[in-house]
Amino acid sequence: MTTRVPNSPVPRMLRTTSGVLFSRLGLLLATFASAYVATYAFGHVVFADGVNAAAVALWLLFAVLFLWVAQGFWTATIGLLQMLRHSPHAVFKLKTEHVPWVAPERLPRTAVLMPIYNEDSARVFAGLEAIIRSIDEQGYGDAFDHYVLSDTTDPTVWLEEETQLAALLETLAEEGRARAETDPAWDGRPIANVYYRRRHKNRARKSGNIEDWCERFGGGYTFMLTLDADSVMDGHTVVEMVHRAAIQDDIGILQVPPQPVNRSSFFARCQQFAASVYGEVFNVGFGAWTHLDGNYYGHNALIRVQPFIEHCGLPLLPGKAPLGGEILSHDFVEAALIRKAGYKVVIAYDLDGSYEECPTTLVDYAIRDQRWCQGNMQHIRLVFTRGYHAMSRLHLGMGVMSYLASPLWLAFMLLGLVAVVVSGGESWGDPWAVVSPGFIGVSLFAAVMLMLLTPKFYAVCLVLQRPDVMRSHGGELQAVLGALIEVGVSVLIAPIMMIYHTTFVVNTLLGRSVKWNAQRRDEASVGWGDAFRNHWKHAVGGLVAGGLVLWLAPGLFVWALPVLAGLVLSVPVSVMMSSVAVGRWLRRHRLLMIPEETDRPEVLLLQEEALTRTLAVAEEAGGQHPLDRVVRDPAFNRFHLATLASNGEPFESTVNVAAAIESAREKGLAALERPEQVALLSNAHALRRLHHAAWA
Amino acid sequence: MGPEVSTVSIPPKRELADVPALPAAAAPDAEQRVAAYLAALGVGAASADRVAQALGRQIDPALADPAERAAAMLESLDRWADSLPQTLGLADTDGRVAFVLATHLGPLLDRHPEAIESPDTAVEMLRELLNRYPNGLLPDWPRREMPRQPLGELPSVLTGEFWSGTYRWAIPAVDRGVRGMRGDLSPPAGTPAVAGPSGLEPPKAPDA
Repeated sequence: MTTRVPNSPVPRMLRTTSGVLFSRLGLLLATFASAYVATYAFGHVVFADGVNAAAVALWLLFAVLFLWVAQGFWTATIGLLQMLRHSPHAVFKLKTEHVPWVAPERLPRTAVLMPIYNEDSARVFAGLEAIIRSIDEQGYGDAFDHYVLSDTTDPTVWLEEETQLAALLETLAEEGRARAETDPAWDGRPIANVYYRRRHKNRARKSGNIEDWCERFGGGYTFMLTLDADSVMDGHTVVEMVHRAAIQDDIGILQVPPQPVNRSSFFARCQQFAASVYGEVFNVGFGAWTHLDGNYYGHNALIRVQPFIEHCGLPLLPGKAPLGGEILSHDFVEAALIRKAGYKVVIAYDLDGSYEECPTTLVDYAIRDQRWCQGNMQHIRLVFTRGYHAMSRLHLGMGVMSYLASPLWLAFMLLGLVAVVVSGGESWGDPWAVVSPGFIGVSLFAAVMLMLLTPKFYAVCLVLQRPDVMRSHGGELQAVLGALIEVGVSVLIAPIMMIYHTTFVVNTLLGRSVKWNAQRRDEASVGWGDAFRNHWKHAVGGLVAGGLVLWLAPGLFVWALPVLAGLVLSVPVSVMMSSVAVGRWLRRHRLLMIPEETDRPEVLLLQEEALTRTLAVAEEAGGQHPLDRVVRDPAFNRFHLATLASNGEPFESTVNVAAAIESAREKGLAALERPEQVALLSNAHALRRLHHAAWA
Repeated sequence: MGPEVSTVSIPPKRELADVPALPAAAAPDAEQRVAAYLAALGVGAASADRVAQALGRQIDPALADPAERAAAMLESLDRWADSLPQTLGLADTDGRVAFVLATHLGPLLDRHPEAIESPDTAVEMLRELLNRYPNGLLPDWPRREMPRQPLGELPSVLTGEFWSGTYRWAIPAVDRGVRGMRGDLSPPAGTPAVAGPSGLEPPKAPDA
């Protein structure tokens, strides 16, 4: 029997299956049991000298941190078991039953949304074009419309976007015309519909951008595929996602985990390799126990539009930013809201063809994390708010914990140092004497390391078991060496990230909010000067901490060495990690390889081709500054005005337009301040006057 | 049989790079300036002259200053372009025409320079362009409201109730527990043994 969700046209989802309950119960029991044993044992270490406040705090921190580590370990273990259990031979990539595809005209209308914000237009439009062509190759192009949703604030980038848009529209129209000559069934229309909408005010950032689209255009579509500016998705995957969601009308969100690709720096190649090798076992495990209560990562996901509109308008948090106000990390909350309304949130871990690009340097990675950290810290309030599903609370809590873990680890280490100093550093006895507190401490350290490293071991074994997968990761030896390099790098950068995350968490809790800066998506390296400016505090902190440990508790120095080394070497590590030359050297030696490099997927080849075209467009238009061109070029001026009229959004500004026109006539539009440039570009009458004046 | 495909041949639009970096403002008269503008749009020289002359005829002859006259002619061209949706029997605001004209106004005027004075002559080509290039204009779907969801309440244990009433005993109890673990059960220095105002209760009225 099914129950009805109020205001919802679909039945409330069925309860989870017994297999999933088993997975969840297993995860819960294994996590808590292992944490209980470890924490009990740790009690013998910390309370060896009696109970005091520092020891109790240390013990509590250990319990929380061990729970965190244990859930990761057991999730990966469930992933391993799932992959083994479903294998007809040994291990293989888990596949679900293929959904029979319907005729293109019967496929529900789907909008592909690419929200952008001051991005590199050539890359954005190349990615979009690749997706369009890939879907078109499947023969389902007519079922999709494509929207570029710009929140760009930089007038130059805005005009670059329009330049790329004009070229893309022209290309698609020409191809439609050419197709009509060879295909009698084709009526000469463009091969895809592409729309561009720029918001004058980017209220609520990316989530507001999507909300705005839902309100204006959502009524025309059953599904929307949300992308990021660097997303690329294979057409087959996209069409398969729509089919899956179409036959199960209670799927609210269908997420395909994205694989990072296309980067060459050492740091990026490590991330790509880790996601490719280890990601599978974690994704399968996570997907297995979350089942229909999965999560949404903010992009590369298919969303049912109507329930999203009805149930996923983000609540406003009480208080001011950073912890209050608009919700920044919208994805987890939207997943929780749609789940609360009775719809499934499914992670399609069996699908590939979902790609993104990752930050190429440690500094860029930290900048991105700073934004995410603030967003996730806002979720603390929601974890405890009434009405959310328990699994949604868990996802929100895990999001919080992924940043909170760093200050907790730091506090744990500092308290550990204090505890050793207070106890004189000798009361733990001989660390190698069985059942001494020292022995237990060493064993627990080994257990934690084992829990962190064993999932990677699983993943490498799973790669080595499959000859094709092994070859696509460079070969047997290279796959193992790659994993060892990745582990080494992780050890080196973990302390740096711990300090970064701790700073972000503390800043957020102190009420300092971060700015919304466009993510840098190019391959620029970090020079020694930049590295020093970003990491000198880490290096000095590492040296001071090392000195303190040597002075106060020399016995701990060896144990602290991995953490101290990462901090002290942070400057050269950051420079080396950002190096494209090192990344390319590794590639030449087939190290840190991913399958997308050895056997390039069709959609990524399409992206490369499209990038050649978009770069040519940018170069062709590059002879003139876009702000000069929009004033002088009659066709571009008209195109800009056409997009402005099509958008139809009223523009409000305090700029004196008449004075701005006069200034622009004298000095040129490019010489004005940004608000004046935006005001003139947003005012059709003013821009026409300027255009006429330029020619008269 | 598939849909009918027109065979009207439309010359390729002119390339953006063809646009001169500087306008022809130095030209001695308005018609020449407008002709230069039209050339930048991709209109051939002969047609450009013809269109410029036609536009010139629509301007008050008393307007003698070349710059002002050229500006008026360009405004006239814009008015003509803005009137085309009506000519085609479309709504005044049909933005598809504006999109098509952005890239194909030059070829249109090159083919039909007489269209400035007789817009009907360009209708067939314009319709063909609209059929072929319907892109760009944002669709007009009925607007939907996406209501902001209520935040939801926190459980009472996390709200103000926790710090008053039933749970008021919690803080001293925790304090006693911590001191108990330290082996120090004497009242902390400076703190009254009997629980006084903790500062967490709601403020009392001045006359209370």
